[in-house]
Amino acid sequence: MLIGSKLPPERAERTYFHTGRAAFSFLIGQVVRPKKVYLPTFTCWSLVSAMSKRFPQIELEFYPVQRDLTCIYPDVVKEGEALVFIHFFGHENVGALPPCEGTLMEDFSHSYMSQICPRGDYVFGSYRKIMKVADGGFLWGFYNPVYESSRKLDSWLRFEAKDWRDVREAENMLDRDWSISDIGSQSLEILLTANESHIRQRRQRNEQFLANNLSVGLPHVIFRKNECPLIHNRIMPSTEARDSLRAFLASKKVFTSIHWPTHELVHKCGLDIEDTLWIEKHVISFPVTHEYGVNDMEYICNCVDEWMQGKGA
Amino acid sequence: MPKTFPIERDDEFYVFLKSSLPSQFRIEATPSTSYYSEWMFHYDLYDGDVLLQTFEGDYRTLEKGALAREAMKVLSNLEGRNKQC
Repeated sequence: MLIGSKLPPERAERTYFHTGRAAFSFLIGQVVRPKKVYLPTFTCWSLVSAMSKRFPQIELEFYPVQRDLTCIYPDVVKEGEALVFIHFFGHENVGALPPCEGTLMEDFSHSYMSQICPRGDYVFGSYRKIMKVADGGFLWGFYNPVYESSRKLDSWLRFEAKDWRDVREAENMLDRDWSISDIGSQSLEILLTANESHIRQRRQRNEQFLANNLSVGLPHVIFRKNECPLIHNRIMPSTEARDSLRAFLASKKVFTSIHWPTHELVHKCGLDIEDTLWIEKHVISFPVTHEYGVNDMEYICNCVDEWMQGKGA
Repeated sequence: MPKTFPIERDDEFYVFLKSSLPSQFRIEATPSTSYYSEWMFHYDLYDGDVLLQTFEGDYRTLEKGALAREAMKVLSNLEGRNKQC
């Protein structure tokens, strides 16, 4: 036993990064080091981007995702291969995973507040999807990355932003260039002091309100009690109706998104991606952020009703 | 206003000017709302409410260093102009 005042530091149960893609890249490049990576055809742009930018030498293969978000995994994940699976929008992906001699990597970006028990060998993600922070990515477990240098100008710009334009510009900066760097102190402070239970309840309440009261389309996902919704995805009858509704809502200062547009590498992958494209063409994603209340969700529903009336007129 | 950091790359143009311009000037970004448009840029430089110059284009087609040099030139010109006022 040693007694002294200059002992090695404690180790935390999380390793933090500037972004989720930095966490993912550290995991791929420094920890797992696979020869081949499987990603879903229905996925966030940043994972595909990380693979093509950082690991062009690693074989990338996609696996199909059906309209109801069922994943058609490869028959087996062989030694030296890594399969990434996602709990889409905070909803637990409960499908049977393939027999695995390689590595299962679980993307918790949408689901780190969903009280899901992980099944993967590694859990990673981005904090920026749920929390309003300038930056943040994570990898469960203690690692000791030698971080790359970064001035984090995208974070600086997010803090200067007064509206969506500088936030988007910061996002563009990050998409153009990013490094495997550490999280910012402001973000870490917010994340470590967040009231997860409160956040989960508010998001659940907002999502439930939209699920029950929107007068168009159908919910894409039915959340379970323990899950913290990222967004409310609604499936619209046609792309034209979806785009018309999005434009109308934007005129009412309600900004929706599409989760997700299909990455060009997925377009070129040679798989049957009809269902992935179908989702892209029909989905509209409504915000259910915990900073909003039911009155905000009512406003959204009222705007949708107004669009419906105008459409029928 | 002193430069807040030395500009090293073209895609630091906007943040460099936003953080360094004399107070009467400002620069605003109007990014495209399309998906996968991260390489496109549109920046408007103002003196008060008067639009002085617009910078727009595609980062992928720029001559390397051109926009970083332009940022230094803009800052130098505006600082000089400020001193004369």
